[in-house]
Amino acid sequence: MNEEQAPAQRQYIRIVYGKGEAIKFISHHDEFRLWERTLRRADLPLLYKQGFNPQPHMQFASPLGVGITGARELLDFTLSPAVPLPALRQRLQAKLAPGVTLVEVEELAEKPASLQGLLIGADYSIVIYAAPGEIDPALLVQRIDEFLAEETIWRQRERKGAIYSYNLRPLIFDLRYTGYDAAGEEHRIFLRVQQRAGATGRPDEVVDALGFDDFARTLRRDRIYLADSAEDTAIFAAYPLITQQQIAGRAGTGRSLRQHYQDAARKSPALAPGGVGSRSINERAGDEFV
Amino acid sequence: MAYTPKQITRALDRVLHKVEQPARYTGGELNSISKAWDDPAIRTKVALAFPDIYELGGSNLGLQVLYDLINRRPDLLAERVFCPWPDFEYYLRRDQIPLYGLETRHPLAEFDIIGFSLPYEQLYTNVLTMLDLTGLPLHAADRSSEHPLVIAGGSGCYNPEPMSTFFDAMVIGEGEEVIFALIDVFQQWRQTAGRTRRTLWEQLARVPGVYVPTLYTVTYAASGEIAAVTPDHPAAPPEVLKRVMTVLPPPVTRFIVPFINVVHNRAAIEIMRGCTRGCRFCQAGMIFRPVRERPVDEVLQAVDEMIEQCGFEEVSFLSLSSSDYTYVAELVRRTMEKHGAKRLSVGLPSLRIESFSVDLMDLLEKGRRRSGFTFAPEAATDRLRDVINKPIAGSDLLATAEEVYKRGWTTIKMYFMIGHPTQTLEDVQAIADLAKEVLAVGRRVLGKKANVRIGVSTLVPKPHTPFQWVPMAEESVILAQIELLQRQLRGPGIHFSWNDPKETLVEAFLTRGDRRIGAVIERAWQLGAKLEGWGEYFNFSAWEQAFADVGLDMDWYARRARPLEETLPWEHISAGVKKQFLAQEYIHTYQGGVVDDCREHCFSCGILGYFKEQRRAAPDEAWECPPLGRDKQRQPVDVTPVPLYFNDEMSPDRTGQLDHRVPQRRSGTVSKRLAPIELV
Repeated sequence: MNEEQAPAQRQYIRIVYGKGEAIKFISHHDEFRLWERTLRRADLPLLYKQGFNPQPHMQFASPLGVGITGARELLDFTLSPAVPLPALRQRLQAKLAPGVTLVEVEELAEKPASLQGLLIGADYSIVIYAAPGEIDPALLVQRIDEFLAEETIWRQRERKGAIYSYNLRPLIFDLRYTGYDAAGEEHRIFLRVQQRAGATGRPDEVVDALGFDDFARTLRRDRIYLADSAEDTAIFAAYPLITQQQIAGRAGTGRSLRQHYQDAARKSPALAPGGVGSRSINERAGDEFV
Repeated sequence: MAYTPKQITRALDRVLHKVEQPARYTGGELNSISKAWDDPAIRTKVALAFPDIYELGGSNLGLQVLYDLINRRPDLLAERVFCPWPDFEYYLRRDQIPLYGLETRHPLAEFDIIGFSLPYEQLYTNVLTMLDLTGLPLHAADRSSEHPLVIAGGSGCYNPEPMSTFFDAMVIGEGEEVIFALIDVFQQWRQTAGRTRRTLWEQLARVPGVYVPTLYTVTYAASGEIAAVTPDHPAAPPEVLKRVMTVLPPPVTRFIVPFINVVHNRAAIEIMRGCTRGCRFCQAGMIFRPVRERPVDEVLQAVDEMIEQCGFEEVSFLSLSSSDYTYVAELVRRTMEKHGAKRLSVGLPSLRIESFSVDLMDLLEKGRRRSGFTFAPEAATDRLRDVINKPIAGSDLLATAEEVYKRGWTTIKMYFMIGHPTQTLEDVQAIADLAKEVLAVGRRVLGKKANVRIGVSTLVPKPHTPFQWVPMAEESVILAQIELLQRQLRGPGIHFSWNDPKETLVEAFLTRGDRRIGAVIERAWQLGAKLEGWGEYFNFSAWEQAFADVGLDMDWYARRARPLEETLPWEHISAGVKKQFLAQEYIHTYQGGVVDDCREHCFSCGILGYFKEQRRAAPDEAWECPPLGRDKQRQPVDVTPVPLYFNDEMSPDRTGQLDHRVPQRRSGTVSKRLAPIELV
């Protein structure tokens, strides 16, 4: 009865997938459920953990921030019993959620190490939408140059309700304007960051620090770099390893980006005062008569 | 400013990363339907509007049903729209972005018809927010023939008067039955020369089940009561009778699968509509008559389809009283046989308090484990349960609780109401006593793990129920009762929650109001009332100010006992239940007379009289009402409800006079057609 006793039956699958524009605003938590449901629709025998409220054996390389698309995201999951790879690929392809594209499906020989622990960095595209002539490229280039000229760029973030500050600048290894695409009306900026536990450069923080936060934009993660890939480590050998201590600031003061957004919306005289979410969805569920 | 979908998308890319849960506003979910806007085959575009945020409306079954139905027709298009949370509302206003349909992001004002769902009163102010963000005049009378037609449907429309000034037409009864007739009338009107809003109203008023408020004049007596409601046009009927489906169509199985977590994040299948129990406080039990069941094979097939098309890990079988569904045992058994091993969780809400329910839930446990078991006795003494016509013996309740704990559930949740007619402080004390008794049973069986959760709400006497004449309890009385419960229901193992009496009061005057309340709603909205269902935005002072500004009294609406001869604001709307039936039941309330489940015995509530053609057209087993026709098996029919018995504490003079008919308060399994043995 204990599923841990039959490891031979387990099949470890890794998929590479794209998270598109249509679903860029869903949270990681929601994306987890999206994949669980995709696998249920495909009728794949996803292995569940033991426990009162069993969770499926699924792990993502790196949760994407809200509002960010991904070109090559990684997901590992475990099936039991095994499904032949071509059938698996076909069933998955037929039942994908909107906004998801399947890039690769691969069977791993053994239980994979935690992908999150292997992360070292990521490349992003920052796309700023503007009609021709609406934003002068020289302005974008100037802001980027100013950003790169700094040694410290203090940012505030929230952890468990407490504000802390950290230096964003050392986490940014590359940042450059790569041109304007008139067809899509897109200014493009390339961004390479370190991505390690406690020392991750976040693209939305970069956009805000650049002063671009009020432009229509989209952010895309093009590539994740992992420590177990010779190719990836070779590329990142060019950059220093930034530790959490190196970027830590004094106890935080000021407001995080999220608080800043909430303040803006609340300042409007048209809006009644009050916090967001003091009444849970579950409490509201009780009201709902269906 | 005219916005294109591309401009709206651009605007969203500018602001959505700044708001909470941006995926509320982006659509594109699995099974959502995005039709080509410019397709010449599409003649009418409908926006289905739910006046609460996505998390509340996204799982609404009525919305899904209409969405599916309309989009099946190649000449129609339906999209969804929800009320924005204030942070997004701020950006919409700041950047002058119009409210838009989620599927193709066209401004709402470009649709032909905007259909609001009005399931309950807390959402009324949100309708105004959404009309305003659409850029439409709030009042139907101020809209031209170029504006979209703005309609409403849902149980809130059974008293349409408070919101009547904002809608061109309101649908009474089941939307599936009437929506196409309404759209057809709209399409014909649009092809006529010299059309005006007024001609549209007149043509809509001819559709049975459609109420066009502007075609009626309401006059008032000096006392403030309604003198008369008079149609101004021959097309407008003096009484608008609700519409019902003869046979429920197969359930929707291409359910929209939300990306984000909504309140009921699961597949929902309605197994039965209506309820035969006749609880006197319950509006749903009165307005959703007659009781119609779906065949069990149809439901089971729907489960299979839903899993394949949606991938939900939970399916919920909806009805007002699951235990009363004829095939409930078979449904549960066969669902678990097929899907139990795949970790499918099955919800079966509204179970009666009897051991049979515990057997059912036990079977369902083969899916995913749940910790709690919920019951709604609504009152804590036998006497008061007789008053509300929900006769459950106290001894049965404790026996059921013991069975629940014995099978390993640790939590029992019980819902009660305070403010019932004839209720005393002793009845309230009994809630606390019962909670403690149930906990004691749990402790005996499970030890310290056992706990009870008690939820208490205040009775809001609803239109079209026998309690429609009853006043809502005074606030001082409610507060004293809540305080008593707070004092008593504390300590380990007991959790007590209650509704804010102020929120209940708002619900009460909105549900019991007349046409004049429309001005109060509009004023309160101007003063910042919105999202009443969300504690942090509830703004009672806005309502107080609005009543003062308009010159009305909220207590006059909410807390006034209404004489039987008064013309009630909703009397020109018929739910198919006769006033005489409701009045009899109102009288029985104060006598302690208990009326039986009407499957056992028809009391001529009115449904069979109003809908006899449909009853004849339906298969015998599709309705719980007795079949009509000479060759049909007869069932006892009474012209008026005859009580099973009179409660001896309420009517000593009448007690016993009906004893020959049926035994006193029944215990054991009430669903007599189903012995628990069938489960094994």
